[in-house]
Amino acid sequence: MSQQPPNERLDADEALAALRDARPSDAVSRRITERALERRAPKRWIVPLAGLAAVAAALVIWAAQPAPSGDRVQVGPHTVVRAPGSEVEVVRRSHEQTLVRLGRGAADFDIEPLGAGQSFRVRTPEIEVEVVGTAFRVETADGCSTVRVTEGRVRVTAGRASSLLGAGESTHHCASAVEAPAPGEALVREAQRLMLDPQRTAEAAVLFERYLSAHPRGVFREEAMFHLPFAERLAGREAAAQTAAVRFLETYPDSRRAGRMRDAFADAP
Amino acid sequence: MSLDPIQFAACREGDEAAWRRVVQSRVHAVFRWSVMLGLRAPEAEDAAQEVLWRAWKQFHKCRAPQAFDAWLYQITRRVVANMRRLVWLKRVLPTESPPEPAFADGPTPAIELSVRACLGRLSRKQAEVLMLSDVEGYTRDEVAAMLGIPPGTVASRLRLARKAFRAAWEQSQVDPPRLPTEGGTDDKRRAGPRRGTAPRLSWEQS
Repeated sequence: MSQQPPNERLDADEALAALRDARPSDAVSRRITERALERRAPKRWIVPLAGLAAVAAALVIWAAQPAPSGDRVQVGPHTVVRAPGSEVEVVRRSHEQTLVRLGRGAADFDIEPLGAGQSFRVRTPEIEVEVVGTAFRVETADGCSTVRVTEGRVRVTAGRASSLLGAGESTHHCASAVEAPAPGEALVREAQRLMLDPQRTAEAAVLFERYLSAHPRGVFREEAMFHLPFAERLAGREAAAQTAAVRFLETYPDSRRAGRMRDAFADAP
Repeated sequence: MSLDPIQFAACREGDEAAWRRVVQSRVHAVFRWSVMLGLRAPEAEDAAQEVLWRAWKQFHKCRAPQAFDAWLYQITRRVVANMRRLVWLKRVLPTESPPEPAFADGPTPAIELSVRACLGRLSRKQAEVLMLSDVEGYTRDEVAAMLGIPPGTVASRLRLARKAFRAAWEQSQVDPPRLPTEGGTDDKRRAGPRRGTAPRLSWEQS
């Protein structure tokens, strides 16, 4: 063995500080990680073949789903998918109450049905969303927050105002807004936005239908009824499109849009 | 340093993907702690994987995300203490080679070995407090939480530890530690036939 002096002259404090962030090779790090994780894996030989088949089937189904673009984490039985760069924090977590703060960005929430007395709330700088077993998305940026509900219902509170949102509905709230949007306006606007995406016209149709059933006398009724046949057609459902076109022409025979509807749907009266 | 609260909550609920990210973020620290507490690289590697496995198994015992690192360090201390008891016989065998550098990314091997040798001359309590304060950069209160002692004790112990380390360091500059002639890192040594041929330690057989 050779005697080698240290090749740098450091004092004691510098020598200690030099070890800060010292790390093993990547191979060692990988081995440690994999072995630490493998040890808790279930014993493969006791997994029945049926179980393996079920897992394989689940994987096939899972692979067919669009992958979430952010981090997926479990908060209790609930799933939160955090968009990249978002600021999400679990402020309170107990059996009865879960409070998540969304400081920046967006997150999707898939909430399991809650028991009596249980609540799951998401707070942004502008609003608070209270959940009753649902899937929804919350976005916050530039002083505005948007909530879109995919399943179930949520209660959205902004200041003293509170409203319930059902599946397919969304709401947009800005801290500085003087007036709240008309009921369902966000739903129609969102549906119109989806119409621009050829892959999502079916969703747009669902939102228009949702608006029409939730707001049968809403101010955007004509708007929704006019766009619905086109959304159905773009989604490949011609029969539904024809039906919707007929419904529009029966409801608004004198509308300035009626001519365009008749041109587009020659079979309609 | 504390754990991201959302990751913490996810790990409490058994989310393996979240735990993998935690492991990846802490593996270097746990390995470094193990080395600084006196283990050689192959032992530190075993210790680190044991620590991280135990942490996952006992995650429900971790009180809060802010307490995670202190809690992880407590596990590391116990695992390292157990390993030191198990490897003492190996250490006294005449065939035992001198220590080799453990870190691939860090100071030069000579400095690393000198620091480790100097820490080895301190009492265990002093070495711990010095390592956590002056190498890892934890505050006095954080070190107190990690070691379960009052902050005042940390301060006095740290003062004595620094003094002892400086004396040892000056001495090491006169009489530097031996370096292995072939210069192979522990990683290269482990890449050889050791895996699979060495007897498995008792805690690996569970």
